[in-house]
Amino acid sequence: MASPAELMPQVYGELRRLAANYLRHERPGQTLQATALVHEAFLRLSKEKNQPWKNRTHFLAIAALSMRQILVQRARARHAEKRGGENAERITLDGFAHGAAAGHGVDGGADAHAVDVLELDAALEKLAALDPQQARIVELRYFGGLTVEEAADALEISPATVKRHWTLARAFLKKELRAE
Amino acid sequence: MNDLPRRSEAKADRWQRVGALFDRALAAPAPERVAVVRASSEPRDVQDEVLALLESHEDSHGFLEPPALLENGSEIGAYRIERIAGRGGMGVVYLAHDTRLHRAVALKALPPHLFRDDRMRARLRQEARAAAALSHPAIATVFALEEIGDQIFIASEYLEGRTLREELAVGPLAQSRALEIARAIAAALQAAHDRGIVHRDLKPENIILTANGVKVLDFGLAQFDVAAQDLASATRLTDPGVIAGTPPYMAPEQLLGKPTSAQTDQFGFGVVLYEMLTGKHPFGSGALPTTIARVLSDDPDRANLPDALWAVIERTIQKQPEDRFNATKDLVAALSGTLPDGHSLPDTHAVPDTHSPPGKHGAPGPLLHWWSTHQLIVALCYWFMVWPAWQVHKWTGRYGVLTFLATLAIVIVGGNVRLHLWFTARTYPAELGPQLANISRIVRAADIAFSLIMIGIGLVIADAHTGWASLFVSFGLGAALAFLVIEPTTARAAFGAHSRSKT
Repeated sequence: MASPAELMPQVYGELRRLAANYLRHERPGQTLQATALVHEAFLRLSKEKNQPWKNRTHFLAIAALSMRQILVQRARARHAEKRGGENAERITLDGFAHGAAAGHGVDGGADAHAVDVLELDAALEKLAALDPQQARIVELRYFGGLTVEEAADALEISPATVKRHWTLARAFLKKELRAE
Repeated sequence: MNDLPRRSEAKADRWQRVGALFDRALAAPAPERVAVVRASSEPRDVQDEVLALLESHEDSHGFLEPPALLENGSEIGAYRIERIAGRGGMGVVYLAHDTRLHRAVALKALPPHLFRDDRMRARLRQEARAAAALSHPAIATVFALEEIGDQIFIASEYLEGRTLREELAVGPLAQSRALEIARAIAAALQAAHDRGIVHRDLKPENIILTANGVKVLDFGLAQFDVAAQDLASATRLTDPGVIAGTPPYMAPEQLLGKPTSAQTDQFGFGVVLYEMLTGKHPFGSGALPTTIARVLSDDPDRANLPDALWAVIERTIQKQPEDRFNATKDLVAALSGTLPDGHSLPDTHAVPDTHSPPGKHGAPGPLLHWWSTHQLIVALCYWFMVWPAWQVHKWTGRYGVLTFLATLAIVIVGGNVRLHLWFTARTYPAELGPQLANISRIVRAADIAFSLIMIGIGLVIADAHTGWASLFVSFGLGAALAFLVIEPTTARAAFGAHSRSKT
């Protein structure tokens, strides 16, 4: 099976199109919900023939990677747009975090964990330098909405390992984001 | 030159040791963790980093976290978790075994963060009590609301079967099957609405087809789904495990955050019925924002639906709740008026229309009345102009007689067709649909020709006979106004948003 990165262009195109579509209609208070987008993309693409991915998990793994890129690009564009403005607004993709939270019944108020996507991206890069697999697990779970078992399946490692990595990665990211 | 890779290797190696010590510390009970770290043989800086990580770990509960799931075989309260039965917007559903009563239950874990405050918990308890009091063959029975520690669960009847969503994945249902399911759903809605419980989230994922019939799940729960209250959440997907991507089944008032009512459920019902019959969502399969926009402003395509069924669907998916059925029992009655083969009993258009137009022109009676009155008035106006047209024919030059004959022809065609429509609307309203489909083009053409010829005559004789000219021009403009503005409005009043006179 081809690696997620190799298969990404096809999924990425669809996700981008969807995301752009959402963002065009964006209005104050309306937010982008990454996991929702990813699942919608899956729904659409799974109807097509000759799918390059072997199952849903595989697809979500590809989509998680794409979603991260799309969100980061968007946040950068926003930052560039606002730069210099006195009210330079910080892009806490709160809706994103909130969407994931509300959608999955997270124990933890969404607001307490609003995440600035650019900061998260930078912290993830740091983590990837230390342990690429840990960074990948965060990507799968946070940007793709995968469970521990699904992430384990996607990475072909044991769920116990995923859980261990996930706990450490999360503590690391929390520390990094707080430091900034 | 090789410094860089070596340095990053060293960093990765150090991180591994940080990770190992972190794991070791976490394995110890919380109060002993610091001691475990300090007692280790790792250098001071590694120890410090682990301690910092442990501290942020304490703080990262829920951070970046998709759902926390219960393990298979674990016990929570009196329930033993067998397996995850599904995941939805409102949390995870487990198949569990009730160890007290020895029966299988569906245990729905609700997102605790939604119920942190006492007011929300109180409302949930109240709603669960009301739902538990519902006893109807087509409603999944709610057994109990369980509050175990921090977690909230709703235990309900475990249903073996397929969701309507899964059934629809294959394609549209046979009409008789669709109607059977629709009637069961409508009956369930009526039973709930009678007790003041509104579902608010009717969709194929919440409808289970079991060996014992149709069952509707999750009455009244949707209101606690805070995210679902706003437009953004319409894009939130329900069950990634089965088929994700719930196109909005929300009524316009829900999308707009206005109050919900029994009529809100009618909307979802209409969308589901349409989908069962056609295999398509009535508001399209584009990106969700597009679909949402369509829910708010567009009228769906009638597809090839038989009159009687279309009449029911059209009524339920009106944009304004007050334009839908006045009561759910009216919906049930309208459905029983549709025979399984799709032929209608006479007069399905006049489904118990108890609500009528409140304040609209202040007149009671079916709204069709306004449309048919419009037809009659236009027909009379047509005929009224025959005599003036004859009067002025000598002033319109060489083509005077020809112009008159043309006017007469238009009047005969347009006027008679209108009278025919008026008569049909008064006597056989059920036949109006097919009739209109055939002749609405003729009506439209006659209208345009009539208004053009009236204005034309007026302009030609304007200099010599201003009085006559203004009569013609006014009638021409009046006719144009009637077919451009008034008729679409009366047609909408009569037939709902989908105006059949559009060509």
